[in-house]
Formats: sequence, C-alpha cells, structure tokens
Amino acid sequence: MVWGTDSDVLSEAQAKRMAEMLPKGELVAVPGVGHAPTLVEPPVLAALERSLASL
Amino acid sequence: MTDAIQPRDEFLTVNDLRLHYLDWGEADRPAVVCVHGYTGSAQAFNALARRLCDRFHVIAPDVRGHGESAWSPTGAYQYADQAGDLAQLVDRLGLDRFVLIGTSMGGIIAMAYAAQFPNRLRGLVINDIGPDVEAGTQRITGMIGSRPGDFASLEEAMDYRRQISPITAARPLDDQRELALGVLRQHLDGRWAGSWTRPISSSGSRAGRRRVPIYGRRSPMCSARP
Repeated sequence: MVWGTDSDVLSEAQAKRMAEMLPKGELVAVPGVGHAPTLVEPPVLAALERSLASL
Repeated sequence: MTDAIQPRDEFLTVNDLRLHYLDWGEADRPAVVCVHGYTGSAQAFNALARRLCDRFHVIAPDVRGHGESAWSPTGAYQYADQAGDLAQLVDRLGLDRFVLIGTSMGGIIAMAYAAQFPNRLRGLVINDIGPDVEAGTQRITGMIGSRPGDFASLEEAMDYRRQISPITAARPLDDQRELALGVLRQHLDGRWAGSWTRPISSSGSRAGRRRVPIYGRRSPMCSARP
C-alpha cells in the first residue's frame, strides 16, 4: 500500500486497514505528498526495489 | 528527452476494443504491469519504468476511454469492464504471473483483478486509493468537470496542469511535457483537448453509468462539459 500523507482520497486509517488485510501487506507512507504519489519518491522506490528483489 | 529510454508503442484488441500499451524492457524478464488513474495515461509510469526496465518487463496500458486506447461504443466504463480488459491483455501477452501496480482508479482496477485472479499475482501495489470513497474523490470529479474544454497551446495546458496539481508542478519539465502529451491531443483547429472520455449527464434506464459523449465541439445544443 502506497499512501501520500496529504491525500484526501486515502486516509491513514483506511491505508493502515488495507495494509493489515493484505497478505504480507506493507504500508509505505510518502510524507507531504497528496493524491497520488508518482511511485518514484525515495521511500516508494526503496520499498519497491526491496519487494521486487525478494520475488 | 532525447537521451531518455523510450518504450515501444504496442496495440492489442481485447473485448473488441483496440488498446494501446507502452512496453518497456525485455519480454523474458519478470513482468510488472502498471495501470494509471482516471484521466491519466500509460505515460504516468514512464519515470518508474525507466528505473525498472533494465531488470523488468514493464507493461503500461492506456485504460479503455483513455490515451490512445479505444472508447467503448456502449459506454461500458465500469471497473469490471476495465479489469476484464486487463485480464485479457495479460493473457494475450502470456504473462503467467506478474507484479500489478495500480494508481488511483488503476488501483481499484487492480483490486478487482486481484480478487478474481489472485494466483496470477507475484505482488500487488495499490497507490493512494481504497475501497471506501473519501472526500477527495468528489474534489477530483469536480475539478475534472470544471476544467477548460481545451487550450490554445500545449504550454498553456501544462501551465494549467501545474496550477491544479503540486505533484505535477514538482516534476521535471520533460516529465511534465511527456505526461501532458499522454493525455492531450491537438485538434484540427490547433487547440489542445483531453483524450479521455467525459461523463455527460445521464438519464433513463442507464442512469449513473458513464457514457461516451458525442457532441459537436462548438454545438450550442450539447456542451462538451458535463
């Protein structure tokens, strides 16, 4: 789950609930970004690289 | 952008609609499929694809009604229709298992696909959307509805896009131009307009469904905007 902390489309509560529901779910917060992250923000890239490397 | 890696433009007809997709990297690499948001296009993932395409096969389709993909002749733009296109596309491309990434509307399409075909996924990334509708969805619908119908130049359109989105404004100018070209088309009169379908006011038995608008761009009878 990727969540922009300034998003008005996805709240922190909903983002956390989804990450908990997903098998091996992980929440990646993108500080100070609204809807929607571009997925090349450093925390997203780091999480993506880590997840993709483990496949 | 002359030295940046460029994708291959590809087309496949699925569910009777000719869909466009951008194809990055070698087909024998692990596949990553990226689905863009409402009024967006495949170009939304260019920056990400350029970082992954040396190790992964990245596929980014234009969702039906967007970019260079066909509009539905029956106004079928439900998430189930779009997830059905995705299912057909990955089957036709022979992607047995893949990582699926969806931004906003693309995230809902990804959730719909994942619910139906969980065994096909090696991983799932949902970007800034959830099953519960929150206030921002209404804000975005209103913003899209009140956009200018067209722009005198690409630069004017890019300026407007920067005004309404700090995320767009923060991207490099080359990225901004690439993203704008993904979602805008220059018309015969030289003006630039969005390439996505627009909802029009609905009535009758299909109320609530988005429809393909058919209008004369300067018609006094039928506005281009909802």
